Amino acid sequence: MTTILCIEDEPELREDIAEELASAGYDVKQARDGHEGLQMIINYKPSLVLCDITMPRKNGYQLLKEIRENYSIFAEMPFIFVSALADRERILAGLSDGADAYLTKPIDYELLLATVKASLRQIDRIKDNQKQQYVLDD
Amino acid sequence: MAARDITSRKKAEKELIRHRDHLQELVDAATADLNFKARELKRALEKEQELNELQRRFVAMASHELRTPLAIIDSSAQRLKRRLDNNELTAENVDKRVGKIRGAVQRMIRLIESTMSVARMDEGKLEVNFGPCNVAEVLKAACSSQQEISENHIISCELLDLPETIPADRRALEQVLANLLSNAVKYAAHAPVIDVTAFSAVSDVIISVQDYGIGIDADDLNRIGERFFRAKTSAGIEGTGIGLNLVKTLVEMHDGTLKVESERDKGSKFIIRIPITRQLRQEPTEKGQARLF
Repeated sequence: MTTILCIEDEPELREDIAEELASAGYDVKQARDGHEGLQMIINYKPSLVLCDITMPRKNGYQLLKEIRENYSIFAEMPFIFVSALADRERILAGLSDGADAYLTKPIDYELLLATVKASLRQIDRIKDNQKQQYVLDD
Repeated sequence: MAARDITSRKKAEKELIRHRDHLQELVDAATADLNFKARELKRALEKEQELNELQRRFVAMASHELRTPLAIIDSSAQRLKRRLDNNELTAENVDKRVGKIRGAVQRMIRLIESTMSVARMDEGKLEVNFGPCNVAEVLKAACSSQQEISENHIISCELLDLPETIPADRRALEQVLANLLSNAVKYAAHAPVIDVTAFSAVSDVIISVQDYGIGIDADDLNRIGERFFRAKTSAGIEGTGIGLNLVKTLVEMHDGTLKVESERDKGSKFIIRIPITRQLRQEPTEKGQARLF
């Protein structure tokens, strides 16, 4: 089963996102902030991360930076921001910092599920290409 | 050899020098005055820019703070619809969703009311209307209302020897307690116990709200209650910096005091003192009007 990590400090929203993803057939792990999120990424190696930005201890930007700079093994793991910081500048900044997608709150769950699916599909394609490359190289 | 009387020339020269010196004095004085005004203007401009920046940050934070409860409401609505469509809706689900929605609405109301009160404060129109206020009743209601929307926390409320009533503005006291309690929950997300105590001491009622959360650094303590100020430990936690400013103002309008004891990672204790008796005449305060009736 595909594992998705949801990092969100608002318990009500975190539970709802987890419930929505679980209903769609994903295995969902939950973290309360970026600090806890990093530990869970290391422990569970999720296929995809959904992450809030404004959080105590370690915010979303800090977590993404740490992942992209210090953990090359997670280079292919899609990282999606889900934030109430909804102005254009923030969205552009989040994407240029290395996020694969940026969703705003209130969350449109259909859009969230479609974005998750698209991101996972893209990773599958990359992996398939890599496999074919290995076969051709052999 | 002819001699010329140069007395009048010397006199004119002297007069000219005197005029020149006087003129120089005038120019120096005007320059000093201009420099002073330029410095004043620079200071005023810097203050204005700082205020504009604070207000800009406030608007951004307030908009973010409103979006989060809206997101909770919208999320609950979508989840309800999904369960309904899938024939999975139970009374328990509805009950849970209603609780979430009401909690989110409370958060929005609190933010809107605080913002309105701060706006009234700026216009000098913030009023407290004193009447006999049953402080025990207000405290119990505030704790119970916060408990209803903070199911992950345990709010204990210990009331000792309180007078039946004190002269206070009930609405203002409710606002003060709602702000202190919601802060306690917000800044102690991983420490579930909140202790509320109240008792009478000589001429005051003393109310304290204690959490065991992130706490406040010592160098930030004396700035708590300043408009828009947020402690370093609050980084990453939503907030506008108006709540405690309003609390401090409302308490002071009751001739009371707000005190904070705190330590990083140990938690914070907010203590308010409100006089049990009042003098008959009230003077208007700097930030608003205090009225007796």
